[in-house]
Amino acid sequence: MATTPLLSVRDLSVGFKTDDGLVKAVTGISFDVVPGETLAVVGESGSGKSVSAMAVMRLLPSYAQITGSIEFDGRDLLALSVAQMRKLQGNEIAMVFQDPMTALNPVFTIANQLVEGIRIHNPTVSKKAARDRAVDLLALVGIPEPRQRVDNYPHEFSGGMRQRAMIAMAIANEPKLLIADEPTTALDVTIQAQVLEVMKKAQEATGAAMMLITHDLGLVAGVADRVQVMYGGRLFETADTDTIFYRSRNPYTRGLMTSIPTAAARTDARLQPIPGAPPSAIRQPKGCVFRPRCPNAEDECFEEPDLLPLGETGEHQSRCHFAEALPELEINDPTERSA
Amino acid sequence: MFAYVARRVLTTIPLLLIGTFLVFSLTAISGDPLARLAQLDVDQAAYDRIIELYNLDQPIPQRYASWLVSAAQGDMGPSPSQGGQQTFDLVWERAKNTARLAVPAFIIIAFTAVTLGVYSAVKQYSKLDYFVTGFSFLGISLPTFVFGLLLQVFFGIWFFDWFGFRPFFVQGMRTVSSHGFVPMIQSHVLPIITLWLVITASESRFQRAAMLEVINSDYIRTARAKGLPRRTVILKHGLRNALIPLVTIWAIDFALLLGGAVVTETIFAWPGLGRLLLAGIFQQDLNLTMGVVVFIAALVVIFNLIADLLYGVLDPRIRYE
Ligand SMILES: Nc1ncnc2c1ncn2[C@@H]1O[C@H](COP(=O)(O)OP(=O)(O)OP(=O)(O)O)[C@@H](O)[C@H]1O
Ligand SMILES: [Mg+2]
Repeated sequence: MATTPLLSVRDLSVGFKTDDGLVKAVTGISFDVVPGETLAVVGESGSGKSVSAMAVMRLLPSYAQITGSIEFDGRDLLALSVAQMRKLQGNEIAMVFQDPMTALNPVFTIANQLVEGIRIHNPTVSKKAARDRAVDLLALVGIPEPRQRVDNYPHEFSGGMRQRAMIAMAIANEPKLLIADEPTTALDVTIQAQVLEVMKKAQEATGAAMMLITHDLGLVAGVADRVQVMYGGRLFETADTDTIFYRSRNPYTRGLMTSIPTAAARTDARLQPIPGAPPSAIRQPKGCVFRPRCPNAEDECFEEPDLLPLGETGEHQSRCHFAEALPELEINDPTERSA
Repeated sequence: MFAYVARRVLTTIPLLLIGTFLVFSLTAISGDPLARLAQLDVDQAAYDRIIELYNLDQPIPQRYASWLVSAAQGDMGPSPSQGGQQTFDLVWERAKNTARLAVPAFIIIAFTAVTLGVYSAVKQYSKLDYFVTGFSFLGISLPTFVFGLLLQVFFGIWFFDWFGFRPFFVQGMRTVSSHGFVPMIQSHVLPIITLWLVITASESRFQRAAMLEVINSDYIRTARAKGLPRRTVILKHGLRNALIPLVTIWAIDFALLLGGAVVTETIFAWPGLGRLLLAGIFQQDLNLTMGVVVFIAALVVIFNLIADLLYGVLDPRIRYE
């Protein structure tokens, strides 16, 4: 990769000490995000997607045990003081959360919540200017009559509008990195595509890189440049979007694809859920964490495989002893699909 | 808004009617004022006049009806146990004495309960949190009369033994006009502390729970993700929301404080409403008992209404139609 990465995560592990034992939420993940790109992070519930995002935002509770390094734009985020980190939060790194119904403070107007985010990072901006900016932002994310609606309270907005407002809030200070944690999951299917469109537009308007977290592999196809698949707190496969969809070298990714209608439609596979449930984050299976559910599991799988590069560029990586040996995917012809 | 208030006031009328009727009947059947009268050696004419004056020869519903008719016109009747003084004047006089404790106590309570609750929620499981939780547990489980008596023993006896003087009065009320400023303060301290402990204990628990719920909510995470300073996150985004459920509790507590704290007033020989109520009940003085009860009921109704209106101010999701 020629460009220097904006975000560079190395060997990140996050554990939570609980009464039941140590929850291993994330185990040794490493990845980069380059400026302007969209990286999708997919995986089933509990795979550690949110925890890794919250680690980057430094929003994890204080009892979280974090190891590894997170480098953002030349700074080691884990080494920053709380005050230094605050300067980045909502400014250079911003986040959109899953549930817009609860993510906005019910007792303050949209204007209040937008303006406070703008002015905390730009104290010289007047209230009036910040408010004008808030109106512009609402217009950008497609809120009708933004000049009036900016004075609404969150409950006067629909779910889709609230998520648009959240997006406006996140891009208010033109962040370099936008993290979206399942930004459409809580919304009606009909609005999901629109909101994703708005995210894309907001990203283009600010030139931000985006980390798009979702468990819906189908959702990322049109949006992501690269996809990274997580399972049991580990990275299982990472590659550019087309490679993930058409040349996946990992049984878990393949299972994920055939279990999701929108993704399954791209292959000839029948819609088929992955049998079994994701592993407990406290007592993880020995060897490969996916072994108990894996259709390709062999004796070797009691030994944990590494995430290894495939091919020449090494940009496609997979965590599987049989990454090379897996049969080719039967796929629909992409040109036929788009016709 | 005006329509809302009018409707709320109207809907409390049946409640007040049922409540006053119950108290009236229960007080009326709980003793026989005529037997007491017979003990006082009065002549037949006076006896008849008293029966006539208080309708003692009529069945309870009729007595209640005539009480209600006069009460509705603002006439709470005379109080036989207080030498026939007007009940209304008695209640008003005592209410002022009670307010001398209730108002400062309430202000201190509200302030300390919010502070303790917020701190212990923000620093959950810290030493301070354990201290506050322990304090409220103590305050809730320690009966008022035990705590009040402990204060009296401590300041009235032990402190006096050690230092040779009493910093606070353990009995009775002093006012600026009767005794001067310092004695006034000295007589107010212990009853206020007693009221403070009991109510702060329960309010700080509520505040802690409300604040804990709020600081674990999504919008607090959003506020932190914006890079707002901790103060803004906790006070603006947190406390503002955590105060909403407290408003009702404040209203109830303040109304109860103003209605007179029976136990505290009795321990500290405070001439307030609580003791007036007690006197009314013990001496089967129906007019007096009813006078105090109606006053307390009115307080509860009014403060609940205020709480509901404050809700609308604090929470934009609530609309009054
Ligand atoms: N504060 C916490 N304390 C203890 N365990 C936690 C905490 N936060 C997350 N976990 C655990 O860490 C694991 C990973 O959680 P995470 O929220 O990252 O999953 P996710 O991939 O985002 O799933 P979802 O799709 O459901 O959002 C889960 O087992 C979860 O229970
Ligand atoms: Mg999540």
